[in-house]
Amino acid sequence: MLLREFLSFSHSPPPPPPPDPTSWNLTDENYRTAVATLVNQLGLTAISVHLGNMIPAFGWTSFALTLLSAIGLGAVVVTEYTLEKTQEKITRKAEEAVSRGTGGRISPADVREWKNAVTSVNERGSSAGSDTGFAGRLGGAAARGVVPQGVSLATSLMKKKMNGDGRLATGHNAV
Amino acid sequence: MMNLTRFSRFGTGQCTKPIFLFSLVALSISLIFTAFLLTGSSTPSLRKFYLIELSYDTDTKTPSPVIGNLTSLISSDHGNKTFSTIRVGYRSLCIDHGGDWECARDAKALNLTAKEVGGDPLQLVAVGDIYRKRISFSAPIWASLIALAVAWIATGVSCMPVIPVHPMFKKVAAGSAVLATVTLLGGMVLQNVTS
Repeated sequence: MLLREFLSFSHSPPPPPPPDPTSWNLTDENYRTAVATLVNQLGLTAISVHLGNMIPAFGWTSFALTLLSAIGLGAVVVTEYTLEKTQEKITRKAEEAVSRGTGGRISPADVREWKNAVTSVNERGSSAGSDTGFAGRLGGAAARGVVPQGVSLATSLMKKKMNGDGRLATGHNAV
Repeated sequence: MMNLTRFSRFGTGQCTKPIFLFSLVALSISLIFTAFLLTGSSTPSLRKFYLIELSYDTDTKTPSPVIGNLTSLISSDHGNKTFSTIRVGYRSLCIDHGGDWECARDAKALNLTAKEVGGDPLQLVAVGDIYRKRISFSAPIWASLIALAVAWIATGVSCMPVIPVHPMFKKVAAGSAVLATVTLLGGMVLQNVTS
């Protein structure tokens, strides 16, 4: 037994001596390895990171609602702008057509003046309590004071374009 | 002949009224939600609105001696309270110690609390504060909040039934809503990138 222990002891390698700290080779590579190991251990197992759910959910919901309202408001604005421009174009074409049809005796400015006069009468009438348009007010009680005024305005405008014999100086029959 | 200008002034008003009302409701909700984004983690009741949450993993089954030492470091020596979690919002930070939440805009106040309740060996409060100050960028959210407020006011004015409203209000409302959409999209994409 003693001999076996003696033999086994004699055949086993001697334990390595403890390293002398003063003889460690503290190169940059060793530092990097040690720090990387420590950071990996700490970062992966010591600290857990969670991302919030509420802020993305509320943020994207808010974005979707804002996008919908922007689309709706933008569509309204673009539609009204297109209607306004189309109306202006139609009015200009109509004024030019009237001017050409009357041989230049009724200029686009006259048509515009007449239209403005009728429009102002219409708007005064609509402020009197009806909002169904000029034609819709013809039978109303308030229209009894508005319609003659509009007609008189139109008549006075037409009279400006009369000749001395009382005939309208428009079209090809004008003298 | 149909007068298109009259239609645009009065006829479309009947058609666009539901659109304006819907936009007003949607902008109101968006305004509230965006305000929640910015005021998240400013009070304990708003602690669920956070960007990131950093917490010490104090699982005792972890075999690493580093974690064992860390667990002993951060375990409470001051009663049963243990600082374990910090949540970072756009404007402030919240820490959890034993189920009690404390929120502050300044990391110094939270540092005091962290030291009182058990220490902060890895400086999570400082990490959270650096994230809040230097990484999370709340300027697009602020811009979208202002644009949303302008759009909400302009839409509300446009919805007034009796008072004649200048058409410029509709254009302001639409432009502000588009601006709010773009800035909110930028803010959310940036938030996704940084967290």
